[in-house]
Amino acid sequence: MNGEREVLRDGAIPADGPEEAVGRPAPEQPVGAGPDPGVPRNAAAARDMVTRLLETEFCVLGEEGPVDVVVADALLVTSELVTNAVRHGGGLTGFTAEITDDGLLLTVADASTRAPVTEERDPAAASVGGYGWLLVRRLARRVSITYLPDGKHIVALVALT
Amino acid sequence: MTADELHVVVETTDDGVVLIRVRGNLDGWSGPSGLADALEEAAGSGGRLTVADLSRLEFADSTALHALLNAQRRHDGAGVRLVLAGPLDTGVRRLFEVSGTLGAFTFADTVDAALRC
Repeated sequence: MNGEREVLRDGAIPADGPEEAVGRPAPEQPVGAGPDPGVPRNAAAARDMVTRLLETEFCVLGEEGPVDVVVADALLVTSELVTNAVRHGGGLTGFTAEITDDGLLLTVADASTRAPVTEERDPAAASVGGYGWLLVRRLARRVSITYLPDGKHIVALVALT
Repeated sequence: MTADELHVVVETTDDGVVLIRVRGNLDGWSGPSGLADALEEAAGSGGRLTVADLSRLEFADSTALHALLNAQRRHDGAGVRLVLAGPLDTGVRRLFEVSGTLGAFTFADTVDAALRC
């Protein structure tokens, strides 16, 4: 069944909790019918894609400061989403980044129909783990999850102003 | 050096300081293990101060944050001071700012400043 769900739900997965979040994910996604050439091989490759896209977008501005922060935030969201797809989502099956009127639109597809690990932590409690999704929630203006029969799409909008 | 590599170099001084220099990208692929292991060893070394030099860290995500938070906890437990030295790249600084964890660590502007802590 397809459909949008509110992402701020109690979707923590006990068997795959934040304590495992420091583990090393599989370096490459399993190859089924052959790798999709459009899917970056890891988070660094996805960040490179977004960096190039934003460099094109910002080259006319040539500014320091605010642009640095915008790019840094976009790369953090990219990295967390792609890493999460591999670590918790059964593999990255798709990744696109595009500039829209509203900002940078990231679409990350994975092979799991389970919700992301959304448990948020109180930083004051100095607890360890679970910061990946918190960063996405704080840095993206909008996050939506579409559940598909064979996986899900997470779409995140990062403002560029 | 490829984009997903992480380099960790550990120096130990005779006055109880462990200096851990980190260079490259620290994400879910490079893995935190090199840094986490070095920090773990530093916490248990019986020294007085651990300085993690993050000035050459080009990118870090929550993987790095989890490793550093774990390390801070271990250092607190062992009574060893942990100082994170900059200057930090914008992206690394944002990781601490956005996660709300700036207050969980002691930062110094440079390694030299950190060594005087």
